[in-house]
Amino acid sequence: MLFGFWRRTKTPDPQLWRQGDIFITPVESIPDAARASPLRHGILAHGELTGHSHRLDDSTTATLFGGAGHELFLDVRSDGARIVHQEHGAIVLPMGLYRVWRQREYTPQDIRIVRD
Amino acid sequence: MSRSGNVTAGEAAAGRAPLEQTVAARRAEFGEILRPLTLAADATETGDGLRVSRLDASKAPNLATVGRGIHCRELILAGTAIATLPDDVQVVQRLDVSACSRLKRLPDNLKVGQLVARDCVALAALPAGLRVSYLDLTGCTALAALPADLVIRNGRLSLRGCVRLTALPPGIGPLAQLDLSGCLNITAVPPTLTVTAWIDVGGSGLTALPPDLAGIAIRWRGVPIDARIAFRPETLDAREILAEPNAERRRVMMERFGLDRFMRDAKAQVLDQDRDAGGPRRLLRIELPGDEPLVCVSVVCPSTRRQYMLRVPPSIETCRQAVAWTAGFDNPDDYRPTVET
Repeated sequence: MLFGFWRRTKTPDPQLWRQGDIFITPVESIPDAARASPLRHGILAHGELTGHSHRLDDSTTATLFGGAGHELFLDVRSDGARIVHQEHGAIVLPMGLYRVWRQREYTPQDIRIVRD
Repeated sequence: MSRSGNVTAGEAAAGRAPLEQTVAARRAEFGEILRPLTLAADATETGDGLRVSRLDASKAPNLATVGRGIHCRELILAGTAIATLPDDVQVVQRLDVSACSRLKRLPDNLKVGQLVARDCVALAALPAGLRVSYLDLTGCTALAALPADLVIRNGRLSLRGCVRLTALPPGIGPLAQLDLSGCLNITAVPPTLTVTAWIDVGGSGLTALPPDLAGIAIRWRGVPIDARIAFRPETLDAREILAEPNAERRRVMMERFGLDRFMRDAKAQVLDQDRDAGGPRRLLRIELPGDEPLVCVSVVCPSTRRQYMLRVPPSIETCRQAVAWTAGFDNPDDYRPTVET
């Protein structure tokens, strides 16, 4: 009963966008380590084999940050930043801060980031 | 004879016979009595004219300037902020510039035993006249070509993950070891290339080796395999793969054969099935002798309609759990994508 009550009253799930093998969700802040590594290319993920990429349609709409392992962060300053890909529909992110990460795959040795 | 302040050849030789003086001076020249120097974490430059045995700046991430007239046996600049090295730098044995993410240029006519330049992501070209015995360029993703006059005699060349490289210089080698793993744009090696020990072709663009390299040991990202697994994986079959006793080699065989076809041919057990926005999903399991079971989730991408297979931890029991795990969520209740394209 108590568990059910807690489930009904907790805050709603955060937004989670998925575009192919990348995921994007809002965050409260961007870690300092990432802030120190802005990426000017605007590419969220690049398919090594296909040459396709998940990227900012207009690199002035948001700043992309790296330097935090496999995660990236986005600071969307304008009203909407479009994330585009050759094979997937576009995603429009409202103004705010976001974490971006890639799909993972298991191997007995380690966990690999999926490379298409 | 030039000597630095911390080298005592001159003092040691003082008052001795001329021959002894000459010997002591020669030793200084060859660095036998030179001392090592480790730079402090806040160092931003090395200073000029250092003559040391080993100069280690790897604890100084803000080091941006390497001074003139430096002579040493080992120069360790890994992880520093350098963009270039002075043309007169002399390193006898080993130069390590790994993870120097701002490094754009190395000096022309550099001659050193080992050059380790892993993950130099801004390095787009190597200098003319480079002579080394061991060259590690792993992860130099901006490197577009190797110079035609590059000399590596009987040593190792590691080009793992150099995704922009499209070819090796025609006259390169002879080499002992050649690592081309992940060089997906290298589709051929020079027909006259000599490699004496092994060549790693894992994930490269190579579809065959020239006849002169027939019989050479082949590796796939470090795992010893043979030419059939590397270049004719379609001739394998599920029974042969399951019978392979070495787990590493079996993993490469499955990857080369195709997980999808392997699961079908090996008559995988269906642990769970359901549907999502893309279509049907299936969780499949195969027992592997002497190894943990292979568990994969088969899904269809809602945008491309392509089916693909991802391996998940063997403890996973449902498609929902498996797909959430691939998205980074250990609890499937936490994975609720609001938009999927």
